Amino acid sequence: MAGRPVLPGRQEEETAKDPGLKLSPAQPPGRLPSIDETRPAGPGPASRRGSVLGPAPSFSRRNSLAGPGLGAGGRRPSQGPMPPLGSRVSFSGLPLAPARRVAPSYRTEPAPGERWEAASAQRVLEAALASRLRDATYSGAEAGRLAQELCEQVRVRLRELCPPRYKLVCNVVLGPRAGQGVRVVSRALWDAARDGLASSSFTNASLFAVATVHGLYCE
Amino acid sequence: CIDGVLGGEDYNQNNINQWTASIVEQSLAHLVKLGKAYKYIVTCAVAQRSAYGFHTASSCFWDTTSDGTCTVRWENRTMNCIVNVFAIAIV
Repeated sequence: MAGRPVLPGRQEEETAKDPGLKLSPAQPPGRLPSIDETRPAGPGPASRRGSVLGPAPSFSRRNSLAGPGLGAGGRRPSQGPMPPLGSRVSFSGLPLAPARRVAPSYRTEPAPGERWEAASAQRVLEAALASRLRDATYSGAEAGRLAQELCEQVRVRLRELCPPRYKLVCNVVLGPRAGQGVRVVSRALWDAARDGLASSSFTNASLFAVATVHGLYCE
Repeated sequence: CIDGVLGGEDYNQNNINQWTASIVEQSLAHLVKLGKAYKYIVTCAVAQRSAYGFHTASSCFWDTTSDGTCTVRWENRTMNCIVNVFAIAIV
């Protein structure tokens, strides 16, 4: 009889410990166990944040301050420190798509066989322009949309073809053939050994188009 | 930059090569002086002004958090000029 009360008591202790054990692997890596112990789930701001954010109240405040990926130990070498999500704007002020950072490969040279090939990129450009514009006629309203569509198509096709770890910048200039003079020039500050450029132009009876693609190796 | 090269000039097919080259080179020089860890691509399109317009579009596959672009449009009586600058972060 004396043993009975002890057993359930001990079992309760164990069950209380188990969730703690189960929780820690589920937390993002880098979270020090001491933080879990010192932050009891309690009333006040922690629980209020919990109701807003959803996850367990004792950790929610930590989450919102630190942002995803910023573990206490810094165990995300591929991402590095990130500012709080609310304050991030893109470099050019455009809306920010969710960031998908690739881990740096620490290879300053692209692998052999994975270099930028200007000739094949140019063939792809020519084919894309010709196929899309062969029967097209210039119209002021359509042209803007057509230029954007061409640009997207070129980018998608080149993405399939080009080697991994290359960033692409595609530019398309589209205009009517009206006897006016046009000059399109580009210059870049890049790594001449690893980065490359391909361009092609297309004309038909009513319009001209110039497509340029720059491929830049991303380490 | 653009004003310095094209300001007060009329479209002239003989000079257009030089003008576009110097716009692009000067812009690149200014960007390099900023001293940031970026690769730059500067594109310049100059067109004679006529009854018709022309369109440029660009699409980029890059890291939206660290790379970006800036576009400047300039015009005078006889020509339109569009300069695009793309900056891609190094690491």
